[in-house]
Amino acid sequence: MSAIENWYHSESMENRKESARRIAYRFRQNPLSLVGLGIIVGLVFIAIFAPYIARHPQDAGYMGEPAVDFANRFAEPSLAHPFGTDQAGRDILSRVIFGTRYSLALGLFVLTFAIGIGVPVGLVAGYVGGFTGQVLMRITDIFLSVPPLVLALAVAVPLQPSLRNAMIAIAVVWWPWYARLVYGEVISVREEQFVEASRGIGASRIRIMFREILPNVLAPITVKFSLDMGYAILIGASLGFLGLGAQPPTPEWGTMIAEGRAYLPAQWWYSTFPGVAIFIAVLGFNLLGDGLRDVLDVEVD
Amino acid sequence: MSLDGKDHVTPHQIGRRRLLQCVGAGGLTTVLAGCAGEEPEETDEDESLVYATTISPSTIDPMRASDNFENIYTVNVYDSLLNYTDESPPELAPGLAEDWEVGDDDQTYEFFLRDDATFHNGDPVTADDVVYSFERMLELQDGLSWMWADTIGPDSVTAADETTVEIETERTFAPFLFTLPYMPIVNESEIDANDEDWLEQNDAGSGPYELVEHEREERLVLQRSEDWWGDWPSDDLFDEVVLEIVPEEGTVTGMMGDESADITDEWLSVESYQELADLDHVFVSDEVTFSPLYVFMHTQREPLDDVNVRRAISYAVDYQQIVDDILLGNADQMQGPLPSEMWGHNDDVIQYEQDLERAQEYLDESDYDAEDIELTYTYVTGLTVTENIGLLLQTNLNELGIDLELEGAPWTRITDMVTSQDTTSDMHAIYLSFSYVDPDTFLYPAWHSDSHGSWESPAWYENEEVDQLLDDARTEIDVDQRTEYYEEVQEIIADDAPALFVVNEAELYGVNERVGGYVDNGLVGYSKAFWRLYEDR
Repeated sequence: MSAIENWYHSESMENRKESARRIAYRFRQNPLSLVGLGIIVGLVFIAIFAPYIARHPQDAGYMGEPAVDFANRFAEPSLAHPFGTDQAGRDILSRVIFGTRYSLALGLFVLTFAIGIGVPVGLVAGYVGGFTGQVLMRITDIFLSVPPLVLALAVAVPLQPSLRNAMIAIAVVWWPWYARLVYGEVISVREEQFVEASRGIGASRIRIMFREILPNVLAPITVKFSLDMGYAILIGASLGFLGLGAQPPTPEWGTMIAEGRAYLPAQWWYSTFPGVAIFIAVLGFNLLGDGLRDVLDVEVD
Repeated sequence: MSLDGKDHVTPHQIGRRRLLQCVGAGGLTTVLAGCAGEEPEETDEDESLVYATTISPSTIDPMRASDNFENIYTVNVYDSLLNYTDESPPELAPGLAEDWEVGDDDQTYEFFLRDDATFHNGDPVTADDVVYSFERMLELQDGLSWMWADTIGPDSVTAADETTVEIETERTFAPFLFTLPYMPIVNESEIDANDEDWLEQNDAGSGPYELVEHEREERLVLQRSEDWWGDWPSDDLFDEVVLEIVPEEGTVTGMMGDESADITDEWLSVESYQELADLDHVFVSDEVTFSPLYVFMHTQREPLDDVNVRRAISYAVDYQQIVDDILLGNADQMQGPLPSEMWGHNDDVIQYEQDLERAQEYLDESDYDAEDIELTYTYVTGLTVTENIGLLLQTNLNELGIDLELEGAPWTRITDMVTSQDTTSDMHAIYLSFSYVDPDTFLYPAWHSDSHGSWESPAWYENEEVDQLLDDARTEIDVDQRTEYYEEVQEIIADDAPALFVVNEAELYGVNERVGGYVDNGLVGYSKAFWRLYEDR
């Protein structure tokens, strides 16, 4: 049994505390995962307090008051504008700061949706099995057979390009991965004695699935969640870059890179800094996810 | 890879450099979007002229050609009865017709074809082919067919003999001769023998170049036709012309820099032209011709069906900032729907300027509440000028409380959107193209209700008086009388504000110094007459 299961199944409060401490200790042993955690805490902080951190919140369209100043276009990075300004004279640093909000929101929405659909599908397919299980898993396989970005593109193209529709497109692509993951875990525990036992005392199927089996799957879901945040942000940025996600002037990172690429290489700062932001965000979630995977000792792929 | 220190660029190096540029532009996604299959075919560089463009054609059927790229292809591969010279303003020159006569009634024309013209497959060009070409153009009702609407009927064009074409127009149409350079002459027997799609991969023309390769969204390769009847400029000719479709602006400037491209299109950002001008081997052509930019407003849908809302918007825009800061001075603000360089321009019509108080007054007069107004502004993805104008508009309209959403769409999707009222956006930023030296070239396709459904009329403007005046001006020969009609049309339209009359831009092109004979006469298609160019080094 892995650490998180230990923690969940521990009877006494003492034991729970003890396991939690062990998890925290092992996590601290890995400096890279601490870096990842630091990055993410930082990003969340920036996202929440963006209007106070950014020096020119109106440049990012804050409060629905867009501001442009073409006379001040393409100012090089300086103290006044550490990341420079774009073709409409807007402060790129402020826009990158606000971009954090969109990327985190996108990642959270996509994964909440993916887990909300994928986990029940995997549970039912794995536990009920039989014909229902086969149908559910074959549908899942169909989704998994197409590369995620390509499938997301296919879903996004017929929709009106917007951030919301990009989220929907990615969410539609993402849930099968959770169904697959949960299905595998359920198969491995459904014949265990504690499941047998609760069946024996007459527990309902729903209770068995969600109370007895689900806790065993929490660890891999947690790990996959933090790893996937990075990938979801990346795919969201890709859709924005291709013009199928957030539309200008939304300060979404991918959209900003796309806008800036017309001015490369002379105005290098326009595309570079949003790109660095994506890099940092993805790196943060990956480091955290890797750290969690080692600590919780699970396999997610 | 060349290890011998030669300073010419090998295909491999170009490939890597381009890849690096793209990687620098934003990591993996850029490679996916911009670099897939973009490697240009490396040919004998000296004899191949490369035109790099960010826009791709939706069709290369000459009778469906309507936009800039499509017309560049058409005029270089197909001949027409008459041609345009490269002077500015351009004049008519003989084409397939060596000579022509106009009857006293201004409705009958006789064209005498040259006898040495042959199609690329060897068939001679006959009068029957000309008749067929007119028929096909009118039958398809696509591309530039609006030019001859109500002028040419089913029996108007007849073949008197092998080399004589008689045209009797259904009504007097003043600029008729000036439209003929846009009527491509196709080989009847070749088109009859093949199916519809054949023309997308092959040509049926007799022009200076023939199509040898068409890879969709990538390139068109044209080869010089040795048998062409026309005169070539000198011995140093380009035997091959490659129309290379390069979606990334940065890649276009890079290709100009390492001389793998010779001519750019006019759709790059102002910054890119500045960058090109700094290169020793490139000059930037900046002729002010006719490149008027409009932001069309959907006059058949709420709330833009209300003239007061349209006027309010017209008064809210900071035109000065567009000219000075977005276009860096390479433009003039428009006054009314006609560029002021065109004859017949009415200097007395209203020229809108930013006046927020007046904008508010008009808004108060309208039936709509500014807070409820939400509009969509659609521009061509990658056309940075129109995108920037959208950003400015968003800010300007916000001061009135109007919400504006920007939407970028590829050109091929926009030409699709404007075919029906429901899919047309509230606002479309579009450049009208210049095809003949007559006010009709800008006014008829945009404002006559017969032109609805084309990319030049996304305002869906309906005004019987304007329709009547435009028709009258077409059938009148007397220039003073026509000027009067056109002045009245301009006054009505300027007043009605069915579009923002934004700017007439100088058209900027980057051209490699080795290209000789380059002249921009501003005409759609004919400003890229590759047969006039030669190598000058």
